[in-house]
Amino acid sequence: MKDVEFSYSARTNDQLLKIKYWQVKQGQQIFLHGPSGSGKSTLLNLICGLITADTGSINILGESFDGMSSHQRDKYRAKHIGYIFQQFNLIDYLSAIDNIKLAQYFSSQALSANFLEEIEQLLSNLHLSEHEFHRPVKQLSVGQQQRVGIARALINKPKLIIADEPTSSLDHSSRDSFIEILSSLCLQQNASLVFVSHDMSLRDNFDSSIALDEINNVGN
Amino acid sequence: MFFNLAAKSLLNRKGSVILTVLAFSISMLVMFGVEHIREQAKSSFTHSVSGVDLIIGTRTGELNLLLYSVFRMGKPTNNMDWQSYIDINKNPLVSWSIPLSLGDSHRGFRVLGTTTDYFEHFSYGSQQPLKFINGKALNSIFDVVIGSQVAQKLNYQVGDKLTLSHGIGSTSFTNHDDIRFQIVGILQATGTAVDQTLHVSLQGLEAVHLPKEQRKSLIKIKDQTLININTLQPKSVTAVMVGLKSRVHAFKVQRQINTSRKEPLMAILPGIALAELWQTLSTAENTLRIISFLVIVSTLFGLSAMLLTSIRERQQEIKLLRMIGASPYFIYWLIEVEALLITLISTVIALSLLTLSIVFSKHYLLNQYGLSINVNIFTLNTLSAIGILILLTVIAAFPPSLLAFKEAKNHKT
Repeated sequence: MKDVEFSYSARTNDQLLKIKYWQVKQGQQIFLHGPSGSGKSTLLNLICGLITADTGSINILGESFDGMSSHQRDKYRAKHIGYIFQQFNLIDYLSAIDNIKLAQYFSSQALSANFLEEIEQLLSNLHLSEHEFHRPVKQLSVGQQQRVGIARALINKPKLIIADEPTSSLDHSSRDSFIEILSSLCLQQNASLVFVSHDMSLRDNFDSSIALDEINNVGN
Repeated sequence: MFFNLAAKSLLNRKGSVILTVLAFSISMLVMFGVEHIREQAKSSFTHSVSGVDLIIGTRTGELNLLLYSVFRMGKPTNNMDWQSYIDINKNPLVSWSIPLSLGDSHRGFRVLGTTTDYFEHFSYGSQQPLKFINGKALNSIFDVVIGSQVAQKLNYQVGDKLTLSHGIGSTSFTNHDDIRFQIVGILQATGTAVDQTLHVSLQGLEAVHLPKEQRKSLIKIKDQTLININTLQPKSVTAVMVGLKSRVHAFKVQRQINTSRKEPLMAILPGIALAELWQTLSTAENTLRIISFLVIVSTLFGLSAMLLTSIRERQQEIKLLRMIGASPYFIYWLIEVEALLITLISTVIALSLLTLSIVFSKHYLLNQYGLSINVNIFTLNTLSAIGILILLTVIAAFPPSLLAFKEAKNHKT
């Protein structure tokens, strides 16, 4: 990410982000923190290609968003980026399996022959029991939902996982196991992880930690 | 995947979706019902008579002649001479002719004096001849053949006896009490005025109008078959239905009659006259269509409002779909397809309900109102109506879909 500037309105004094240079190495697990309203979510939307920067260039996994149409960015995001929200990670009227299938559908990758087994294997690894696979996810607990969220984010084997405060709705014990599962799965797939939180107690679980203020030069 | 998503999303909002489907089904039932019955009424109307090339009567309005000869409505202005009927029959272009004599009634039903030619040549619908459920055609002068509704309403059976009244009201002060007619046949329901008619021989009608003394002597005659009694030559008839040897000559014969120097007569082509008459009824027809269309429009507004509200509840879902790679167009069409699914389900429900209700009321409608309704509602008309409905649904779903599209496009955190 180089010389990226972004503001929601045209006036420059409303600028939210101004990043000279920031990079995450392949496979690195990074903890990004900052107070709310500091532009964390905006940064994530930029990385995902949901919004485009006013200036500068963003390179994800060796490809630049600059020349892509919004449709290409949608496709790219579906294929290469796994995103985990704070909550509402799933379409609540679909089952866990259908949610994961939907993520696969948007990536437009060819279905492997044992795709369903793959999903089931992944869900089992996330400590979900088989009878929960086909129930609408709104019947699952919040912790279970977040774990299905991991499976959904990882199904297309993306090389970049972004987690936006995924543990803030979880209690202490399920929070720890969530982070453990997430980081081990990222390691297994050699995916980079950007974990965003304002909870500083979590920073020790990651390779490195960085405050948004350190890379954002707005106001400096 | 796409349809699965739309269908499951609808299932997730069962309550409001079911209500919308119900409202939509009912308004479609009204629309398809009106449209179908309108079509059927029109065809049953224009098929009241078929195979008759000309109807001839004394000079009056075309409409008037048509109304009293075919629909037994209104009063004949004047009768035509018996000799004229004989002349028409002798015309080399004429294949057959049926004399009709009107003016009497039986408990509100019109009595038609005619000959056995009527049962042989008269046809309705698409050249369907008259059929008997029970009994046979007229044979003796005091025989009567009744239409299906007459039999049903007055609970008559073959062998029952009845008397005629003078005039056409349901209560008449001049009853022809001393002559009793016997029912020899009951006709199958046709969905035309035939169902409400009692058919007697011209001679029978002549007989009831004789002076009292002559009537008494007539009743005493043993052999009352029509062939035996040839003294009762009628002096006049109300109208004559004519079948030509070739249809091509219809206009020629019509002109011959209209311009004849003998008795002033007029001839009409029933097909054309019926179509013209239906035209005058088209105002009522169009009013019905407009009402049913407005009902549909109001339901579509309801559908639009329902979806619009749902979008506000589904912001999270849209955000998620975007994040896992759905384009804003996907979101747009997701909402459109949800609307189309509602329309499709409602159409199926409405058409099934309509078919069911026609199947169950067909018999009743024919017997009570003389309306013959076809069970098959899948006409070209229905199919094009469904096409228009789909188009209207796409338009009605445009505002909510557009809102969802914008929601998807302007990604805010």
